[in-house]
Amino acid sequence: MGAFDTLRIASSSLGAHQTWLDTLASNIANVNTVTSTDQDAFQAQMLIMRESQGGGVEVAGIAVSDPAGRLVSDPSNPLADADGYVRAPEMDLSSQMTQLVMAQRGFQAAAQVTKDAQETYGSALQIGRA
Amino acid sequence: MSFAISGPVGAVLDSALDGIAQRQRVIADNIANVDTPGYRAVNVDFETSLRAAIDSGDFTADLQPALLATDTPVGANGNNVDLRKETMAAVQTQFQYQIMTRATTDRFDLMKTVAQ
Amino acid sequence: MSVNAIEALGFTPSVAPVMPAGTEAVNGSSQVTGAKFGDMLVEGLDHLEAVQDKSDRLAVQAATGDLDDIHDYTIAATEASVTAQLTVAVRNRAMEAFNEIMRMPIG
Repeated sequence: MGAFDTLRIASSSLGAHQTWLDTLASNIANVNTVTSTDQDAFQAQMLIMRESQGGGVEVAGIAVSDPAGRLVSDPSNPLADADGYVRAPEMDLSSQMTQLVMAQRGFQAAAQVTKDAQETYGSALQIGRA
Repeated sequence: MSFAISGPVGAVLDSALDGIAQRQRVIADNIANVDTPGYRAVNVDFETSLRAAIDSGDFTADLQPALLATDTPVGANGNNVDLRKETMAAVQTQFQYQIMTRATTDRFDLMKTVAQ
Repeated sequence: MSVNAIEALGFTPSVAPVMPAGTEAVNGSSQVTGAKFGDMLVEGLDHLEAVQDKSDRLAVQAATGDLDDIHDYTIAATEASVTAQLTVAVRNRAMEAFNEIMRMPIG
């Protein structure tokens, strides 16, 4: 336990949520990325968070979606195979957008906690200074 | 005559400040883990042991705040952090802390006046 | 407090001094029970040293990053400061009282 634990905890949350936002941005940017059927599909990243020992949160790892992706019929695409198929990423845009809102909300809450912490530290320093 | 300015009220204010600071850390932890699968929100209770100490008049023991796991309904990912509740608790805790620091300062001011 | 010293100078109180309850005459003089002023002052100085030590210890903890809560230090530091002010105030009053007694005309 340290005097600046609240700030450290909030900082861990800001970091984890920032990483989550980054992966979501990358996923959403690649929602329409298709590959030829002889290659892996774009793999969407899924952040896994866990509680840190001693307080806070950390990124436990990043899981990726199935490289097989989904086969989509798009004969006009120059990457299409002989049967007219391309490989699209195994990813649900609406789920990505929902997660984006959650990540933003978590980030903002952590930012508010850093403000609260500063106010508390300020009050603590004013003890005896009337 | 001792110039002790701590006394029982000082001990109560000290314990309350420690408990409130602990609660603020725990709220920060709950908010940090708002999206952590399986995480259960934690509550801090320092008031119960503080009240017991006030009733018995014994402040010699170091009062440790109790950390209580919550059993409120759990969401889809096994997480039960209620962000709205935690945010409100953070605001309240902030003001509680300021009242306690204010009370502590006021007590010291009184002593300073006595010394003049 | 003994009045033998001034009785020896020829002073005889016309009215017997009124003693607070709990005091009794011993060998013709009176003895006030309770802590002596000197002991109280020593106790006060010991307490001052203790609170200053605590304040110093927490300041070192703050420097090394081992401090648990900021208010632990600010309370200890303020307590040390106020205790010092109180101790000095009591010392000053005692000195004034002593000087006043010394200036008292005798005879």
